[in-house]
This record gives sequence, structure tokens and C-alpha cells, in this order.
Amino acid sequence: MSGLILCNDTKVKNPFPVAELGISLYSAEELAYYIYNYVFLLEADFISEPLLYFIGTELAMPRLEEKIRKWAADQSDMAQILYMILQDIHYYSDAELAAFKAQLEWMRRANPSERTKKKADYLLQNRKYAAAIQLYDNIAQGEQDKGMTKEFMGALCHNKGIAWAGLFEGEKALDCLEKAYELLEKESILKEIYFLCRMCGEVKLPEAMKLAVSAEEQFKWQEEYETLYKHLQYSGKGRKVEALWEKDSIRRKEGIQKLLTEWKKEYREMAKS
Amino acid sequence: MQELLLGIDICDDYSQISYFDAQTLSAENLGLTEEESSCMVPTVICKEKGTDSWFIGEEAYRCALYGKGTMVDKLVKLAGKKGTATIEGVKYTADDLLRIFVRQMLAIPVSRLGTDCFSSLVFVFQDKNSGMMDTIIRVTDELGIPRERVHMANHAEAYLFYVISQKKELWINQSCLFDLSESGLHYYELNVIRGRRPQVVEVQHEELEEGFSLEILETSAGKKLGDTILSSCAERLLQKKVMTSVFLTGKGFEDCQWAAGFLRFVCTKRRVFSGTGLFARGGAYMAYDFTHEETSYPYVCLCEGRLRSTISMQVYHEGRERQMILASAGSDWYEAKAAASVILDHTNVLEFLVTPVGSGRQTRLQIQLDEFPARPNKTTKVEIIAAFLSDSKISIRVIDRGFGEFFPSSGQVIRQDFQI
Repeated sequence: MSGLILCNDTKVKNPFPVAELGISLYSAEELAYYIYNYVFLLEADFISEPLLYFIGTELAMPRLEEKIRKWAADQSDMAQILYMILQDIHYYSDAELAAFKAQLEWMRRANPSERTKKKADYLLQNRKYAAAIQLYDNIAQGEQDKGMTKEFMGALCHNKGIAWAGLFEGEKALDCLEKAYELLEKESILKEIYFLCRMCGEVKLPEAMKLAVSAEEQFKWQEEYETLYKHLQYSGKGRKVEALWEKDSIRRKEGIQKLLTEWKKEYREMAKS
Repeated sequence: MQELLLGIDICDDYSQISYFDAQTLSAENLGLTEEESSCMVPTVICKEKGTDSWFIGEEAYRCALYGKGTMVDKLVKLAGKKGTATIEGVKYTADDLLRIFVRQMLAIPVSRLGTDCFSSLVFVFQDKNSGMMDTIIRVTDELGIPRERVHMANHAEAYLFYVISQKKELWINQSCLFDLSESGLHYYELNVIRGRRPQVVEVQHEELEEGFSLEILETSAGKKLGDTILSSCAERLLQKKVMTSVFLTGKGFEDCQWAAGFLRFVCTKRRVFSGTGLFARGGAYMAYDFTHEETSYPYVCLCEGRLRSTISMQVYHEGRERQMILASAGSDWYEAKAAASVILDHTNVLEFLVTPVGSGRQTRLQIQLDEFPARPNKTTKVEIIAAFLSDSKISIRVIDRGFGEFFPSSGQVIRQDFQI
């Protein structure tokens, strides 16, 4: 299917809050998108009264609300209900729904640690670093199950390291990435460690790594890092800061204040567990 | 309480009001006073010297005649060229004067029919121009009349609705109208186009070059000349046509005795009706129809001021491909507006289909949305707002609405105008 999907322009007075992502949903399409893309974040209590109210009253889809109530009363599996919601909203094509079904099937078969890791990875992708770290720790401290292979643990350490780096905790990040390298022995992790050390000046490049990677390779990484650094200076947030210096002193001060408030808010979201 | 369903024809020389009588289900003309038989109100305005009193119509003439005030005429033309008039040292825009005039016109049905409950109003003009229509909207807003109760029509539309409100036998084939006024001689021809569902009724309008000043009818030689001109026009226009009915309106036909030759010709095998206020009556029929959710006229009405094509889009709704109509052929361009929101699915182009009435040939209008921020598939919602600048020009605005808080809106707008 390609083309244009007609939207129902129902004005939502009370949007549906999604605490995990720190956002609210305003339309049926957004609800479908959330279920489809963040299914690993959904807990058993997702099918709740507030959700049913949102669907039935705010989105003006009382028939879907009724259907969910009936299915829930019949003790239907949550996966089945989620699939039915997506079908009724008609935001995804049949092929996309089939992929979603496969995802649900994987979830059903996966062991708890795999499922939790997937959820943590979602949080990591959405820059909810502290919440992701908490879940990675829960897995590592929990009982070992058959999903906990060397590769699994390596990936877990790696992702946890990335999350720490996101919180500007260089030492902790380095510690996790080193462990990940020990388990996975991937050169890409060494490169990440190199970048981390350049990024956080106080973190020293481990001696072992200096020996493990040729000087030529390290030189290439250095060039790549510098290019990336320059790029970031003149794009995204860097550009915002740059633009402030072009303003007069009063507006610059106001702008800096605003930007700092924005960044603080962002960091608090990232550090919220 | 009786509700007012009015047709108000505003022309440069005379203005007329007609109301729809819900009991007899017919439109009736309304004079300035109960005694006054004529429903024609001269479109003039006069301010009484030294007071804030304004008069319109005959009273305005009287006031000016006795030197009690300053009169301004040709208000429509003045408004068309955004002119001004200075009265007692104060400069008034045409818009100001027209507003006072329209206010006083609207006071006529209020006093005559004893109610100020405006249920539906149709203002009729020779041609619809946005400046005039905006003035009317301002006046009705000032009077607290909800906007959805106020509509505009041109003479072709008013004639069309007047005729199709009559018995079908009068317009089963063709019907025509001669409108003779100070502004010229206008000919309207109504054709019923068969074999289409819904049936198409079309009015063609022509301003005849042979138009003459009504002043010539003041002499017997002038009357004869006028009759000759009209007869030759009628012979040229009506020959070989199955004209079921002929309507005559305008100040020139208030008394038809001068046009004996013309009448002899048009009355042969045709039914002829003569009278003033035809456009106002057509407006009143339209006003009545606007009060119903479903129109009582199951036709596609084509004429000046109405769209000749249907504008649509292919969209997916509830998983099925459908044609979404933004504006239907036969709609009044001034009132034809549409808004819809769509999500882009593997496309960066909006395509609109233009389907002319009675033609299978569709044309496509496209708007590229490359300027909008790049986002993952299906996470860009756009709001489409279509409005018409004339019966052949559509203006489409596309607003980037983002995708909720996942991908906030950039607020960017792309606007494109198309000739259709």
C-alpha cells in the first residue's frame, strides 16, 4: 500500500500519556504507531480503563472499546488484543501487520531476560538511559536463564556502556565497554572506547587497547572523530549555540537561559529511572 | 415566530428583496412599505444635512431633491473600484456606504414581516466579486447574523434556481431570460442536459452588445428603436431552439408595452413571463433550500460562479482505497471549501484529480512536499485546505502537522494555486 491515509480529525481533549517515552498520544494513528514500535515496552496493565476511555471517548471509537472489553473479559491474550487494535485502526498494511504478528510470536517464545533486554534496548534508543541501565542491571543480577549466552551478555554490557556514555558517566561507560569487548571481541567496540576517551577528557585510553590497535587505525579514528566533532559543532544543538552568538547580548542571554532550561529538562528525562 | 428566508438582489440601479413564504412555498417580492407596490429600491443613499440620518431609495431621492442632503448613487460600481464619496467634508468609502445601505435594506423585511430572525439570506449580484461579498459579510456579522446563514449568488445562479423552482413543464427543454436594465441587456439561457445522473442544468450568460440606455424609451421613436433591437436579438438567439419559456425582467420590462414586436415574436409557441424581482425571488428559493440539510434540487447546476469540475483525491480510508471529493461540480466556488488530514505513506506528492462534468478526461494536479522535514514512513501528517479564488482557480494550502509528539510539526506551509 502506498498513497495517502485519510485521518479522522477528532479533536482529543485529554491525550493518552505514555510515561516511558514522556509523551502523550493524540490520535488513533499515534496509538497504532506506539503499539507497533514499542510493543516491548508494553506491560500487562497497558489494556487499562484510561486506555479504553481514550479509545472510546477521546478517539470516538466506541465499537473498538467495546470489542477490547469483550476480548479482555474472555481472557484473551494481550498480544491478540494489541493485534486487533492495530487491525481496527487501519494504519498498518497487511504486510506490516504480519511482521507485527511475527514480533508478537517472538515475544511469546523468548525467555524473560531476552524480553527485558529488548525493552531496555527500546529505552536506550529513546534516550531513557537511566531506565535502560536499571533494566540491564536487573537482567545481570537476575537468575541465569538459557538466553544469557556470552553474546547476549556482551551485547548487554555494550548497550549499558552506551547508556552510561549518554549520561556523561565516562568511567562507568568505559568499564562496561571494556567488559563488552572482552566478551565479544569486536573492533567496533574498541572504536567506541576510543571515541569515548576523546569525548570525556578525564577518561584515559586503556594501555591494553593502545597495544591492541595499530597506530594507523587509531590515526584513522582520530580523523573520523574530528570530522564528526566539527559536524556536530555546526549542526543540531551545536548550530543552536552558534546562532546565539550572532544575537545581541540581551537576546543571547535569554537564548542561553532558554537553551539551558531545555537541556536540563532533557537530561532529567534521560536520568529518570 | 416566522423566520426570514430572504433573497436580496443588489444592483447598481435598483435593489430588490424577496422573501420565501413557508406557507405558500413560494417567493414573494417585498416593497419598501405596505402601500408601495414596487419592490424596486433605487440603490442610492443620502445623508441628511446636519444629522446622522441616512435614507435609501425613493426617500434618498426626495431628500436630495429638496436640498436636505447629499446623495450618492451607483454604489456597486463605486465599491467595485474601491471609490470614496465626500459628504459634508467627511470622506466615506464605498464600503461604508454600502454597509449603511445593506443595513437599511435588511430593516425592510424586519419592519414589514415583524421579525428579525434571519434564518437564511442570499445576496444576489450581477457578478460575485470578493470585495462586495466581504462587505456583506461584515454587515451581517455586525448584525449578529451567523455566517453560515449568509450566502451569495450571481444573477445566473438566481435565475437558475428561480426557474427550476417552477413547474418542470416550463423548463423541460430550454428556457431563457432577457434582463434589461441601466447596466445593459443580459441574456441567460437554461439548458437541461439529458442522459446524466444526476441531471445537469446549465445556464449560459451573455451580455449583449445591443444593450441600450433606458432613457431612449422616453420617446416614441426611441421605443420603436428599442423594440427593433430586442426583436432582432430574440430572432438571432431563439431561432431553431425549443424554448419552453421566456422570462423578462429588469427595469426595462417593468412595462412591456413599448416592445410589441418583440413580444409578438417571443410569445409564439412559448410561454412568456414578465416581472420584476426575478433574481431576488431566485435568491429567496435558494435561501429556503439552504435551510435543508439535503437540497431539494437533485441537479448539478452549472453556470458562472459554479465549479464545472469535481476535485477529488485517492485516499485510503479504513483500509480501502476511496475517492475523497474536495469540491463537487456545480458547487458555488465562494462557498466550496474543504479540509482534510492525510498521512503520507511511501509518497511525497499530493495528487488531485479534476473531473469536468460530462467528460471522462481527468487532469491531475500535483503538489510536491519535498520541502517538509524528512521523517520515517507514515509519520508525516499533512492538513490540506482547499479554497477557490474563482470558479476556475483553486488554491491549496498544505500544512505539515508532524506526527503527534513522536515527530512534532514543523509548521511549514506549502501553497499552490491552480487553474482548473
